Amino acid sequence: MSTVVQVLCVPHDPTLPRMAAAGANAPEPLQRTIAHFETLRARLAAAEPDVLVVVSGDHLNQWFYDNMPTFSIGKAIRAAGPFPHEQELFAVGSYDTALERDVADLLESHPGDLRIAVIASGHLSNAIGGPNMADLVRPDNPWDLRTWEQITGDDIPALVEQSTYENLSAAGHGTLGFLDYIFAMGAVGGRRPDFAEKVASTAGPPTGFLAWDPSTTAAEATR
Amino acid sequence: MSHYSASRLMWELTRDRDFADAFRTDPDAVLADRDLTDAEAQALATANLRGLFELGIHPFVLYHFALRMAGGWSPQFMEDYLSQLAGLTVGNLET
Repeated sequence: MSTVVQVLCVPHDPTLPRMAAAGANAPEPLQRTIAHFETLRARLAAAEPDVLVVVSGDHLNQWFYDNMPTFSIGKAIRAAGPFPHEQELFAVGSYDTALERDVADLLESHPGDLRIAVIASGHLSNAIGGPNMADLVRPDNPWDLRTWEQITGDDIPALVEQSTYENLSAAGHGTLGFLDYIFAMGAVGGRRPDFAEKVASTAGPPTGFLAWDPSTTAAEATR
Repeated sequence: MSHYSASRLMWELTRDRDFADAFRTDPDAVLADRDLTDAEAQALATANLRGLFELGIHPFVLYHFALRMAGGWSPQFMEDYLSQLAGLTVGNLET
């Protein structure tokens, strides 16, 4: 039987690579954001997954209104990106990575003992391009404060219930990348994460980092 | 009113640097091939972000079009962009 060995939530703000490149010259809150990526990168490596399941929105990168799949599943032995226009507009570097093993070979040689990690790439509140885009860049954003309390306070089932298109839009969300996080919370059955760090400052949109090791969080949930 | 044609053009310009360069050089030549209202064509020709927003273009499409027209993201870009939308609220985005 395959095992989900790690579930992670990470932000995908395209201005973050530029901040990471700035290193010590980046504003302090953004340095914390970058450090959280390093922490979760180490957790992922330690979990030694065979398969990564990465969940994210397309954000009109590949598809447009006339041809928009509700869900799309890609299977690849290489991963390349970002899209050329994203590289140009946000000055981020490209990657073209061979995944270590051909998925078909992997599945054939491991008929059922895979270690799977789920990575949800999304964001907390955001209204990309909207007039209120700057309003959400506040440490005391009420939606983010309440949501973080729910995530860290065993109230995830209620959060999932409340995270509808209508409710999130009413709270000021313009793009609903938080639903990627909801996917991860569903994958762990609504359990409390064992790693939860939020960076909220005036230096950029709030970033949220979550991680679960399903084997330990499952034990915790039965207490 | 359908905003599809205007949104589609903005998306194509976002994704294609060469096409965006051609649009900057001669917007009317590009706009002539599109099924646009006069208001949409004029707002696009002048990259009038506030006007396009008020016509009902989705903020996400508008933001990336603005990024393409400006040449890329910077803190100054953000400031300029938001100043053009000051005081507006998101309305009906139906296409």
